[in-house]
Amino acid sequence: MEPAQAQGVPMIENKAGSPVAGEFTTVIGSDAVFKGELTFEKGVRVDGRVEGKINTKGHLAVSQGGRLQADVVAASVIVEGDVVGNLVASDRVELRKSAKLQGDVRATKLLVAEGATFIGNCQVGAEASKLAPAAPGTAPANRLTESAAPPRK
Amino acid sequence: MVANTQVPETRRVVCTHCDRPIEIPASAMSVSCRFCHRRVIIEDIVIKAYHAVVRLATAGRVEIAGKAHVIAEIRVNELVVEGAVKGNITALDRVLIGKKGSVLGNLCSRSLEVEPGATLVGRVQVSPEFALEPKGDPEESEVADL
Repeated sequence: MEPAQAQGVPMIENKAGSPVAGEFTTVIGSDAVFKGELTFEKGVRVDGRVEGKINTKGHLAVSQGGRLQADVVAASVIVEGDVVGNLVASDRVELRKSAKLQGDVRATKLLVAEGATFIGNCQVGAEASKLAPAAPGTAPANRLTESAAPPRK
Repeated sequence: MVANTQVPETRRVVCTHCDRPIEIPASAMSVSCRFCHRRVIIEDIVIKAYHAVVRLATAGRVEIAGKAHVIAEIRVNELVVEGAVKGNITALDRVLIGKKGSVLGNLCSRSLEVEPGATLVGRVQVSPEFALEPKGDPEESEVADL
């Protein structure tokens, strides 16, 4: 096992499946508490606690000890800790076995490992990425739930 | 000559109507629930074409093939979606949405696997502790059995 994985640090893999070193240029430490709106150009790893909003063009990873209470817009999101908030990813959202997510997800791909907990609205697929992202803090229009309701008996 | 009798093997399933666990013979395809007295389908189902019903329920496994299109409220133990589903899904075990699968509706299960390329739109509730609460008053059913 790689040393980083032994410490519970989520690894980003390239298309060949090899871990990419140095993917997270910003790390919010385990003893840090941040409240507000964060914007990054590259990857972010959250080991501590963040409340507010996170916008990044890179990857976002929430490690096992991380606590996120924020709406996220990122290229991809990997969750191993606790997240309360909406996730919008242009690529994929990955929930690993220790992940607990309460919020909506909009992404092109979704990976839910066995043991993960996920409660919220979900829009996954090639069409989901074409939809305009909902404004943070507002519930997305759930026209689909109405049309998918079973007919009355 | 003594007949060689063997005690039939049993397994436990959850009634798809009242959500109570019942012991059934291992080879049974359907049983009558001893609590709500309604018929519970146990067998695995494979759907290969258009299928529109109010409710599709089995205590077994449902596989929706690539060209199938199902419109129903689905209540199963395990679900594999390779085609299209429109309706709410409740699975006691796992749900797998294949790369060409499409689910339009709410989903509750113990585990979820969505392959790259699949489509899933709806409210999702996935938890390893997912379980269904029994419906109805058990004391009334037990009195009826006496």
